[in-house]
Amino acid sequence: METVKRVKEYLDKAPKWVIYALAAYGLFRTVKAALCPLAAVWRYKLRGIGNLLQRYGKNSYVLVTGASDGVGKALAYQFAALGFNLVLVARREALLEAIKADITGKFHVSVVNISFDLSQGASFPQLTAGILERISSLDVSILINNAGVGQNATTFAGLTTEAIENLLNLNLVAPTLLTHLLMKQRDCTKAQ
Amino acid sequence: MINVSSMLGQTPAYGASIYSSTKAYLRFLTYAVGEEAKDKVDFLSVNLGYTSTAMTRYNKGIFTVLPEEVAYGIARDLGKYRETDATFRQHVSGTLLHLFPLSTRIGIMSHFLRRSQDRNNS
Repeated sequence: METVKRVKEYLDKAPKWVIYALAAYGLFRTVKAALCPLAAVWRYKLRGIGNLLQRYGKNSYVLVTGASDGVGKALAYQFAALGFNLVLVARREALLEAIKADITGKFHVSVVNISFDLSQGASFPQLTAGILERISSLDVSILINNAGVGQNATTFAGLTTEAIENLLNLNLVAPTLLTHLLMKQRDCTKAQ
Repeated sequence: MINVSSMLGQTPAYGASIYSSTKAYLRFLTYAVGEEAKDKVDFLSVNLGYTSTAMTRYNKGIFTVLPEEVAYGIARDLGKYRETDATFRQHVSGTLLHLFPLSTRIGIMSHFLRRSQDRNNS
């Protein structure tokens, strides 16, 4: 209460411009607080998808890792619906084949399946031989590092060595190396 | 270049030690490389909340979203933003969570993770 009193005393004696500055700041914050939800509704509810084909190139490919299930599978269908060709990377080949058959039946796009275990093959030579060399003739314009594994709410000390290696390889090493290798292959290394 | 990160990439929590660390790493990597190559490459870091997939054992709740909604959100925001919460619901839950300081957020997220651990064990 002592502080409030002191602030009041100061404001009573304060010059006009201090009051105006505080009022302007208050108005700014109020308007901002009122506009934030509106901006969120615009951004997440009203906007549609732009022309991605034009931006990233017709007949170009989207590489999705972890495409056999969940968000990766949904992304494959979403980008196929937009007209992109697909490179699907996942461990389980049978699931990939089923998705490929379904997508090529529904949309006029070509789908390349690569059966590759990112949790085992997260090294430069393995990724180069297993993925990069097989897509070198394709125009891969979008890379989606989606593959990942959860921790099932296991404590750090309770994790097995294998689980830790899986987590690091799949969530950390593989996306880093893949991004680097693809940027090099497409010569994105130099800034313009 | 799209990296799928997580809300846990901004808030560490009980039982997500390595998971949330790797997701924070992905988020930072996307920002840094995106800055270096911004003339040539679009980068998008996706902060997913609770999505109904195998990883979450297809659990459902008020802030749970479907993979299809996430995929649509990613395609919508690619090239326009560097970071996205993908869906409106996840944006709301993320914004509400970020009203709190980090220490409180860790407690909140840990509460949910412990609860899901109990549910999975029973």
